[in-house]
Amino acid sequence: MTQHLATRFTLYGVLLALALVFSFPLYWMAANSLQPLFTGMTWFPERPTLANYRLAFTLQPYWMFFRNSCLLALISVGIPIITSFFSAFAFARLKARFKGVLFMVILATMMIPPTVTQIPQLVLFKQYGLLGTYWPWIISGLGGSPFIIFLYRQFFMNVPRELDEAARIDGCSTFAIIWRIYMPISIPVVATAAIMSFNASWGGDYLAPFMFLQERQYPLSTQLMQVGYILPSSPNVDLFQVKQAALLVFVLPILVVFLFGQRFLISGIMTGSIKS
Amino acid sequence: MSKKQMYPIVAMLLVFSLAIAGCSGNNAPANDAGPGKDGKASEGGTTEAGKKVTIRIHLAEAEISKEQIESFEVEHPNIDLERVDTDFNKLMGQIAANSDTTPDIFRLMGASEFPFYASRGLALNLQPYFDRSEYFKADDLLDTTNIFRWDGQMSGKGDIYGFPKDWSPDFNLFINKKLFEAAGIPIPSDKEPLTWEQVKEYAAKMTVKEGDKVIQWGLYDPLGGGVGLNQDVMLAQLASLGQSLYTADNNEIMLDSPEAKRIIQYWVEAVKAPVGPSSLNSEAANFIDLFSQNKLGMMVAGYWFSGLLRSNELTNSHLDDFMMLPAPVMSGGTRVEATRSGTGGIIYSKTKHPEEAWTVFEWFYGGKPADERAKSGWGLPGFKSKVELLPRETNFDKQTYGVITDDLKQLSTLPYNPYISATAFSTLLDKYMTPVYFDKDTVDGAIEKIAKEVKIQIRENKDIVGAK
Amino acid sequence: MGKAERRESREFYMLTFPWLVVFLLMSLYPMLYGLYLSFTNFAGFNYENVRYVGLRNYNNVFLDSDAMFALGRSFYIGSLNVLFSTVFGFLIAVLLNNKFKAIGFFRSLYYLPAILPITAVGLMWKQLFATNGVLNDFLSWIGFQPINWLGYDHAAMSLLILLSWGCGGGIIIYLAGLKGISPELYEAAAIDGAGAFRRFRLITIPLMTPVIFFNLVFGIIGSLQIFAQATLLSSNGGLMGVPIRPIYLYLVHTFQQIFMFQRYAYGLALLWVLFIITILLTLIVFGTSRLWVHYESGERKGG
Repeated sequence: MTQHLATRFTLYGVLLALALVFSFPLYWMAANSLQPLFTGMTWFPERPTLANYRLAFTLQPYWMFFRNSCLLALISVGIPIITSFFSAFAFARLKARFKGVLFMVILATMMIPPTVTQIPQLVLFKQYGLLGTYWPWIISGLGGSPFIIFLYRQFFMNVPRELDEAARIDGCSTFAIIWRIYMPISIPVVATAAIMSFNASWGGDYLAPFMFLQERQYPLSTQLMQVGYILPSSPNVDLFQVKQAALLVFVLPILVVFLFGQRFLISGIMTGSIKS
Repeated sequence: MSKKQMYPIVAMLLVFSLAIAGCSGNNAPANDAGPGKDGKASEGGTTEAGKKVTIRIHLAEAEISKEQIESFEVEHPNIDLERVDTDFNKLMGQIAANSDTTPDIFRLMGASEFPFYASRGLALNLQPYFDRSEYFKADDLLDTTNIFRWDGQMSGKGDIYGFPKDWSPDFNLFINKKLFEAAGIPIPSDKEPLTWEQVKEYAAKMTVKEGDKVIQWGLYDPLGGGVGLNQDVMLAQLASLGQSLYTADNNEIMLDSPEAKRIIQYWVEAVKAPVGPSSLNSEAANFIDLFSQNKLGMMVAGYWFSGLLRSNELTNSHLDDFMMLPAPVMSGGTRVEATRSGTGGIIYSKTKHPEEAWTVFEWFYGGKPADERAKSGWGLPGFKSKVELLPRETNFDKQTYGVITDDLKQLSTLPYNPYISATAFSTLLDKYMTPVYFDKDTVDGAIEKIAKEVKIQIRENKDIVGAK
Repeated sequence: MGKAERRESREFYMLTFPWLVVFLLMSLYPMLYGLYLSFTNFAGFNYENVRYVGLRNYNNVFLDSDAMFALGRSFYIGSLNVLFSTVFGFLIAVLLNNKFKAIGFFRSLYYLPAILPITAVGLMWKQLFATNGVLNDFLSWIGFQPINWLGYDHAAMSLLILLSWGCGGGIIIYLAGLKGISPELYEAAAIDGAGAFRRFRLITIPLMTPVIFFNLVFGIIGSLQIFAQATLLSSNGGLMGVPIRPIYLYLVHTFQQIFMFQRYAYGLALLWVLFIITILLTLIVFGTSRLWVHYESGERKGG
């Protein structure tokens, strides 16, 4: 495929310009994290200092929260990306009564605002003795995530049916078909699901831990969003610059996971299978 | 859906509700002597003598130090002290679930939030404990601690239910003398209060524009988010005029009294002038930044702000440029000093360990941590005897200390309505006054809408707590 | 029902069994309980003596002129947001699917808005939009009148700018889809003489419809639940602030009722109304999907 040089330059320009727009907040956070305390928001740090980073790690047991985040992310990514596979295959490929209804139910669970269920869940978890443990996350994971089930299903529906029909003729069971055919060709979509659920867990899952866990078990997200950094002896005063420093370190793992994980998106194993 | 079809659904819902109510309804102490099958969280769940008991105190991260907790636990080996975070909604969830993690001691704003908690029966009556306490001597308590009194109808009098951690009369002004001089305004006296009318006039003079852009502001009320009508200031201004915001039975708001209208008009003009930032003239920098970078002439703030000025590297080198003033009065009114926050604690009325919770409460709110807080100069103690612990070394210390001593002579409790929460009221003001600032509604229109919603709020809240 | 069909049906339920159990335990039960509470006078703390009040809360939803106004704003801003984020997200993904130097690095940058918690960068946006902020500096520098970005006339536009900036979240799914399209298809088309635009229209778009469909469904669900972005632009900038009228959205109104006024039961009723509206909209989108979503394997389309 050839492109005109001019087209290519234009595209590159657009790419760069948009990159600036999208990455600007990261720069903004970095700039402010270097700014001395109580000196106001800035677009450029005039007297840069690393003191805020020291404070970010010492005012709170930062690495303890970091470890909790890792654990929670491991649970919320590792379990559902595998368990969702089976339901997704069933919804994409098998015929059954009430399938349509159940699929709407899956969609519906994603539409329900979490606030509706939070207080009843608290009561429920207390009854089951799950408060103050990571079990709610593990149990939810075992059922698979509705989002990932839907994502996988969309992907599976695009896999040519001839593939599994051929396998069936060869005498493969449904489980073998999932394992031998669908798993290997699904790496891009699994990587997508993993990256997105890691992002959702690491950065977005802060209210549920706040409600269901105790302080020592909080992930970083809860600690930063719900509690934050305040001036010792005057909680009215936010330590804005320290928070920016803490946030910057906090988002690094998501960036790393994305940089690393996107290689799998490009692996392009699918390309051989999809042909018309 | 036909009636017949409804029955099974309603029946199912009822079963659900009973199933949940069955496990959460019983709060009797006998309940928690049961098997600790709830796992780790209930380690402190027994009340047998000699057993270790966990007391959870809700405080912000920095308000209690590890060292303080450790030294307390050494002195009280039977108590395991744990600081916990919560917010109103988590708290409600914890109460609903009868969770073991429910704090025994809640943190709240004494002035504006306590009446709301008290009317809902969430606070333990501490009068018997206070009566026998070594720390809390009745004649040593400052009048401001009355914000934690409750007589079943109103705060301010009756038995005591809580105590402030630290507090400040919150309507003092902090001024930047340099900006006063630059605008040609004489430096006011710190003995005689300014009138709010003067405040607006000065603020207008100190608001400086460069083209269309405001580069320096005259007035800022941090708890009100700039300038604009808010409940605290309105209550204080009305008190200065000898008026109240609500009818005596707390059933209705009186926003259309001439005094209230005068105050509303005052703030509408202040927003439009403008003399300070608001939604109409948004300002991204916060008050600390503005004030410490000499971009703000006057700020409505309590004594705690002096602590910030002392510790901020941009201001602590030239503290004499700043000055604390008494709370302004409405012209024709009297001086009223009061707190709008008064962060403090109450003991949860259904705590499983009232005695141990009291031991913690007495220590944190009346013991050594209280002394340490007073010395730090970030707020006032609740005790007359501890006032002298406030810093009095530099000129700035002495000046602020002088104003505070005067303030203490004029103190009163603002009459917040226990049947509408402070957050609800500020939300309503924000919602209906903003259109007025933008000329999309009139003052009378906003008054009518606010009054209507306040009435609904009061009616529903009274209905729920069973008040008349 | 034939033997094969019965086997499929059995396998279907075996494979979905874990999901079903977890759904019943962890989602349905709390959901129904929330539904029950929406028929009571639940106010957060009165858990032990809630009273059944019939349809009162639901009646109030439709009598509450603010709720209806907010719903209208949510539809308006939500539909524009779905449109913008679908189009921008797709176009950007196509751009990022090109072979450039260090494209992986660029992709990560583009994904940033989806990573950074909105509460963390909300302050930055307020600073940008402030009347004395950088955007106005820029406007006056290129010779325009500064505008009040957060005032009545422009708040909706400002909110949409902020939302569109966050469209990167969908990029990753589009990219995964684009990677799935065989380059041979393009090559074959190029040999047949199809230009870049024609290839885009005849190959990329049809093959991407399942992915567009996926993002569309989530766009609708997410758009109706927009909340934090609007409140962060409000005057006090906190999560519980009151945005001015043009961006006073349905979920903002709902959370105000719950968190500011402690009208939990009423708030739950509002949420259930939203839930039902969302389901209806999604059903409509699923209904239309037969007309435009193209599945490679030729199974019946949609759901």
